[in-house]
Amino acid sequence: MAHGHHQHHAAEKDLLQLSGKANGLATVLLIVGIVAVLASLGVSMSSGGLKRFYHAYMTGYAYVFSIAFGGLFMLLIHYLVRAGWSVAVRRIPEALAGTIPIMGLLAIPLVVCAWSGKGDVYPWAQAKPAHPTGSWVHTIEESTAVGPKSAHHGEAADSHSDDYHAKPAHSAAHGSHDDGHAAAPGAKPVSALTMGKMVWLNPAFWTGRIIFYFVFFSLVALYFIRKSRGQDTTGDHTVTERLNLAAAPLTLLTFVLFTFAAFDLFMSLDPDWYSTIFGIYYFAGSIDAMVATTIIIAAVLQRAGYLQHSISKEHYHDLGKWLFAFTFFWGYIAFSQYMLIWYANIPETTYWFAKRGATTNPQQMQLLGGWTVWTLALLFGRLLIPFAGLLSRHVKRNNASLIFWAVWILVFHAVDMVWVVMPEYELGFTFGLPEVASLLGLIGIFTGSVVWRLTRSPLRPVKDPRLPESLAFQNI
Amino acid sequence: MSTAIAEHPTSHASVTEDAGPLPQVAAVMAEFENVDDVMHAARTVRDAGFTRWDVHSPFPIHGIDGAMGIKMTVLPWLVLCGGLTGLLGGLALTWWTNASKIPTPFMANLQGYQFLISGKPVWSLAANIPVMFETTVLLSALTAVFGMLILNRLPMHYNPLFKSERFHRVTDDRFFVVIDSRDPKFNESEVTSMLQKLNPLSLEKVED
Amino acid sequence: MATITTIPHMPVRNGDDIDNTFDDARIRAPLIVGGKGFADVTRVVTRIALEEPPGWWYLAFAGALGLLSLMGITIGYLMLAGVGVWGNNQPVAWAFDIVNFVFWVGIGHAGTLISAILFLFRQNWRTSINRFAEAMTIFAVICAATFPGIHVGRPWLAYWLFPIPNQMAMWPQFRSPLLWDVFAVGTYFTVSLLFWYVGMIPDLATLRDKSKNRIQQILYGIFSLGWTGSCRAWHRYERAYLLLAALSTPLVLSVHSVVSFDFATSQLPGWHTTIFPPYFVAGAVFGGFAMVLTLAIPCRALFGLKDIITLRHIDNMNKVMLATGLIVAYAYSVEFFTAWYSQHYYEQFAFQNRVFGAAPWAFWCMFICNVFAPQILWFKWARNSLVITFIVANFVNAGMWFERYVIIVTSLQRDFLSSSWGMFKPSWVDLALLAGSFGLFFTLFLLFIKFLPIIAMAEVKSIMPQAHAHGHGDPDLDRTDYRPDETAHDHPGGKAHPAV
Repeated sequence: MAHGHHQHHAAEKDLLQLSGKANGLATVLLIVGIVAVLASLGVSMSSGGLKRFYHAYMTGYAYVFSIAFGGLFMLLIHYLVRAGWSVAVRRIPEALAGTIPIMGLLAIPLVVCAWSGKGDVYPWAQAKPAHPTGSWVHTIEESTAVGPKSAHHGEAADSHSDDYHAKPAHSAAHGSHDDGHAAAPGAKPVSALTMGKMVWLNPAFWTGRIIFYFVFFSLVALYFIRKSRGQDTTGDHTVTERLNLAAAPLTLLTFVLFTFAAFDLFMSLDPDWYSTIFGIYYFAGSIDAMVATTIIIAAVLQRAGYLQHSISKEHYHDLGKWLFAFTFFWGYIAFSQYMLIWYANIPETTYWFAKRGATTNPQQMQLLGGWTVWTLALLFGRLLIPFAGLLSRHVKRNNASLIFWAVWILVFHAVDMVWVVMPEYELGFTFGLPEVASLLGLIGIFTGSVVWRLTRSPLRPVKDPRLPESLAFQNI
Repeated sequence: MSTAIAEHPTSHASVTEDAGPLPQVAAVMAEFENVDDVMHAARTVRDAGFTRWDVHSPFPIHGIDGAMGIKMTVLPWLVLCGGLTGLLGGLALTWWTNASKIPTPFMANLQGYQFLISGKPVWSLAANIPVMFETTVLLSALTAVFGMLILNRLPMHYNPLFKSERFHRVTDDRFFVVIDSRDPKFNESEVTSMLQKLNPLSLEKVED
Repeated sequence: MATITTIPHMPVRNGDDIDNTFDDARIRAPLIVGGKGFADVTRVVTRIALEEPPGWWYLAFAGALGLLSLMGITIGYLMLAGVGVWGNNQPVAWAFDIVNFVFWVGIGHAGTLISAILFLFRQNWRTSINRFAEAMTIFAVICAATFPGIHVGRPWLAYWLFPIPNQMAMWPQFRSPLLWDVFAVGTYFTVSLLFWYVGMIPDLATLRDKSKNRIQQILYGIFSLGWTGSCRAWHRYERAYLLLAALSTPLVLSVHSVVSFDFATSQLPGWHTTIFPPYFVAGAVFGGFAMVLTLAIPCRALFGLKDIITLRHIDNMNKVMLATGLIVAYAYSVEFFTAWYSQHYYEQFAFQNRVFGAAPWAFWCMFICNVFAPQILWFKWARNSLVITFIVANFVNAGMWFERYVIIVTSLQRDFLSSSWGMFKPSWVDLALLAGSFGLFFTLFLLFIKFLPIIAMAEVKSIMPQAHAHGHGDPDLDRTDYRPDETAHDHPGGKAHPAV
């Protein structure tokens, strides 16, 4: 009768410690991952050089960092709202969050790139950028032979920026002219707008911020993981209560810093462009991908014989609801960002979508058609199809169908990350072996780290005061 | 006459024609004090194979669906259909009025017309999504509410159960098991003795 | 396991408030205190609707009616004279009318949030407050809809807003955010009304059964539709409620997002920013919870509902208010940061203008009320003090009005060309309509608390420990054996009957 009691007694006999083989698996994944990243580097050198590699690496990095961070945020929210149902699966987000220090290390190539002075990824990080032009708008118009021709460049563009753009930009633009500024060969043109924000976007300050973000995220993650693991032996219920309290300010700070990390790492790939919602856009995808990853890890562990009675259909159903909710939330945020920029139609911001193929201009589409298809794939694959697919409760309560949609979401989250990063490589469609190799490589390194993290503690909390509630949990 | 069981209402006339003389007893009703007792009673009645019976309670009891053997309602599927209708309706409305020039037969002035506004294409899907979304939600919600009422045969203002003074506490703090006399297995004395064994607070015949 | 089943001692505060705000991870705090049973809940709640109202009710109602008449007279004058009697001008073509509209629509968000989103999150504490929060939603939306209704200038032609076939062969312009508003607010009002009414059916039946007065019996009888508490009916009812909750959740997001589109689709600095949709939604919930607290604190005291709307409910609402307030503060900060980061002269100017420019008092009122005042809610003693809570909630009520004033009016006062700058000064008609809208709101609200069940009795009962079978253990931990899609397998002996 009381289902909960059955569940509970059975769950106590569950296999909770990953076998020794897991360490081997983690090592293999790490090695394969590193080899794939090196392969990406190798392939890039013959097709676009270091710059291509950095972009490919950035794509993969955006992907794995979002999932690791999602784990941290899940932990914080779990404690903040005193959740009961999620205790049984909490070790999985803990393992994801536990890789955040590794994410910090994986950011080193990006820092190296920022300091290289070439601006391979970040145009603002060039030691000697090309002389300021109006903005990217002109570049896209010239490259696609649309709109006013090169007369727009040079003088016309400069005078345009003088009266239209910010005052600091004005002086910055002229300052560099007066100095007889000599651009490095192959330097990307940097607009007057970007010149104006170099107080914020410069390698030293940027690196400082990145280090700060990762130190902060790592400390929060390790604090929560250590306390949770400590409770496994002591069973001290005050640990949960203390974490409930700590979660409130830490959720706030973590969220704010994460959105600024999104600005710094990804929005500044195009330093002219800005969107206040961009941090939330990356956040929405991050949580969705984390939920999908949690579902898959839980299912894999159960298939390998672990947690047989700890994680039930009810937990999958709830995770499925989160997957559905954040798929919709991602769509809501993505639509808000796109619709507002499209509707207001201000050239300084719409070009960002034009670069991604969201254009009906036939000449632009000749160059950007690949991205047009990609954008439509995103619309359908990231939002409409999984939305319809996950609507039914039967889909969420059936393990096979839920795993299918979790994998689907993870694939299209990668599509999304490519869409955010790769159009910044150059005007035109770029996607190929380097990106695939980098994505797979970083996923390998990440997964290896997660497996290693999972071996370090029982696969579910064993003495959490809310564990019985979680094990007995049932949906209405 | 109809009985308390909303599931199988039949009009007075049809009962009289089909079942001959008007039954004296419309239903037998047992009153219970708490959830445990009524759940136990529900399982007993279910296992005895009755089909025209119901449990009445002041609030939805978790687990009663299993105890009574109630299957999932089709309501979600109706709502899905309502939602799709709303979505397509919203799409058709915005497209037909603002982006098409299709006339309506017999009604000369009822047709869409195209015009430019703020440089947007005549058919701008992004600008129509809010309206399509709202019509989807509106029709889904209307279907959910009216579908629920229709499936529950509500409103139904006459019900022999209301004649019972005791039954007034069903919306307060008491629980009732009601077995309809039209149940094929209904036999007044057997039903009464079965319910008597379940320790009800009271046992009452509901007259029509 | 670390579970305990006995509830720790709960001290009494403020005279007769039982403090159930303890934090013990081993047990879920009781949400209904004072040893209440089902019949006690029924008695406490039905008494309010069935008995003669207390003296203060008549006083309050007279005051509300007075303000409502002021609104009626002012609207009459507005019809005769035209909208020129407002302070609106060029460039400030939108002022109090739209500020009040957004303010009231925002307040209307907490009701659906509580009844829908908290329902999906299984936050059982919502049951004590959802009914009057939903009522508040509906009345707030009515207040909101009045303003654009009279702003159209010729309100008798307001039906032009709807796609009704007409002899002019004229259709609404579906690419306009203002028209999206018509659909969003109209849908929101309809769905909220249905949600409210559906939730009320079982409680109206309780009033029907408890009433001794023939007229009440007939009226409550008609509106309770012949509800008998049938479990076959409850089954579909619960499913419908869940579906409505699942539909209302994206709906509530969409409504204030669409309201934000009115501004954000434009090119005006201060209006055009992509964070507006989620930021407006958070602000709406923030302001809505403030209004729920403003109403709940006096209601629970005046009607003896302290054991149903407990200190824990107040504490939780305070936490939601703090959280949404912080989201709003985040949005303010990101707007300021991005205005600088954009390096656009007009963006930067618009935000400097807010803080130091044409009407900085509005900005500072907003900032103090919305960002500073709620920070005291980080402290538990403040959340548990009804006086502090009430004061903070009213700061937020005011702050959210100023927020809309800042966004709408100060942005319009200073647009691109200094030759087109102007100032806005409200006329007496503006002020009378704002005051009058509170009259409309409170008139409806006072009628509601007099005649309808202000607590969702059936829902409150369903979360009480007695409502759960096998009630020997902790009610929350000890659920029953219902698994909807396994019913047939769970009970091979029992015949599963189709519900339809």
